[in-house]
Amino acid sequence: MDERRAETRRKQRKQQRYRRLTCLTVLALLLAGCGVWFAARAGWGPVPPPDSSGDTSQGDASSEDGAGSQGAASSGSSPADSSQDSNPPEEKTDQPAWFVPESQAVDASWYDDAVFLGDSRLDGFRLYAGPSGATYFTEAGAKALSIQEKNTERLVDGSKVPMLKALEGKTFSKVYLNLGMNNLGDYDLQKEFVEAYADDIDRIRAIQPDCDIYLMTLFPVTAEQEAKGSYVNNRAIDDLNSCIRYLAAQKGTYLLEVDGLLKDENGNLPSEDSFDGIHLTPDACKLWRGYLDTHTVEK
Amino acid sequence: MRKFLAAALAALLTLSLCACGAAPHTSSGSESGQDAPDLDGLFAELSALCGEAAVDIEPATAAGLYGVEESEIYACRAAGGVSADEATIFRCADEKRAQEVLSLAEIRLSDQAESYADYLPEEAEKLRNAVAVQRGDVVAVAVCADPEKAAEQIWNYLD
Repeated sequence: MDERRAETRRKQRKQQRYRRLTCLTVLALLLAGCGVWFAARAGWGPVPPPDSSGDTSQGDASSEDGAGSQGAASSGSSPADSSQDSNPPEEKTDQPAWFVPESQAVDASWYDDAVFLGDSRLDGFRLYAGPSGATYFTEAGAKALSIQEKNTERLVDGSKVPMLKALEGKTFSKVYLNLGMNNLGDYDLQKEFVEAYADDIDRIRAIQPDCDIYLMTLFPVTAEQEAKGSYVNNRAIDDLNSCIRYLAAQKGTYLLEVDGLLKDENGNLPSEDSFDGIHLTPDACKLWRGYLDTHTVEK
Repeated sequence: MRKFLAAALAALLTLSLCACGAAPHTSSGSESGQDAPDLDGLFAELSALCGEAAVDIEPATAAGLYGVEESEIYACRAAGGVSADEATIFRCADEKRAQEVLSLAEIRLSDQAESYADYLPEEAEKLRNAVAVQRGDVVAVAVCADPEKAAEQIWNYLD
């Protein structure tokens, strides 16, 4: 009799556990659905980016276009899994995204076939610490879309063309992108940043099919800048960095998470690293350069 | 006696005429054979007019900004991103090349002004009022909040 009771209790407990698990799963699905819905309402295409330390599935890594070899060269890194992302991307890529691990520092000649595209922060980097052998396409107010459309680069014949058009003039092995700060105030971030940046990457690949693309995350701003209550704030920058991580995974580019390099315990850019709360000092740019030197992928 | 006086007067007249002829020659800073301008002094004066964000820039980097040879950069001090402040002095192979470099400098200043126009309008204004001067084989460029002072210094040192 006791045995039968015990058996019944066991069954009841099992059923309860099953019910609890089912409830939790439904709740989790509901929450995820709400998250996607809110994100879509807010104009955010990408849901949170793939976790850099997450799934190491690399079912696509052995693609026909050399993506696999690109990944294999980066020892110790984990590819972010884009295949399990619930948000339908505009295009699935055969290349996995790779976080670039720390490596032995390269010398300046590494950048002789590199091009840097970006905004005023990158302009400061160029002047204060940039390798002189690299090519730079910078514009103070550069945005993800403007590098396709705005005539900022002067060619030898005197004409001016957009940055991406100017890329056609030379073969590059590495393309470093540092964009986003000027997109912080955009009304439609999905269209003007995420889609435009994705399109930038596609176009760069079409122009420079053999190049490695390095996306750089954005440095934070100082607490003083935060206090201004401007749209240029660290919460917005964190959100944009999530988009950049997402894009790196979706497009299979390398990702350089430089933002953590200049961040205090509160997530702000240390005041001594900036003149105006946003742009970096020469010393900060030298740290940035040091990070780039020690985060490269040899082919 | 009269002959001696006439000869002495003629000699004096000849000497004075020679002296008069030489005067304009020495006042021209652009002619060859004159003392080289104090470019270090000029650079120090122009650098002092730049803001705190401006630092000395490697000649190779400065050359890349203007599309000139590294050897043509005498000195450069500039600010990146946060400000357009800049003091750059070029020393070229000859006057003809210096004129070409001046043209390149003017193009860069114009492009920079356009780049800053919507971003930092006050910096764009500095770029529109920038001073770019060529004298002989030297070109001096100054972008700062006090272009009149910069121009005055450039004339002082190069004229």
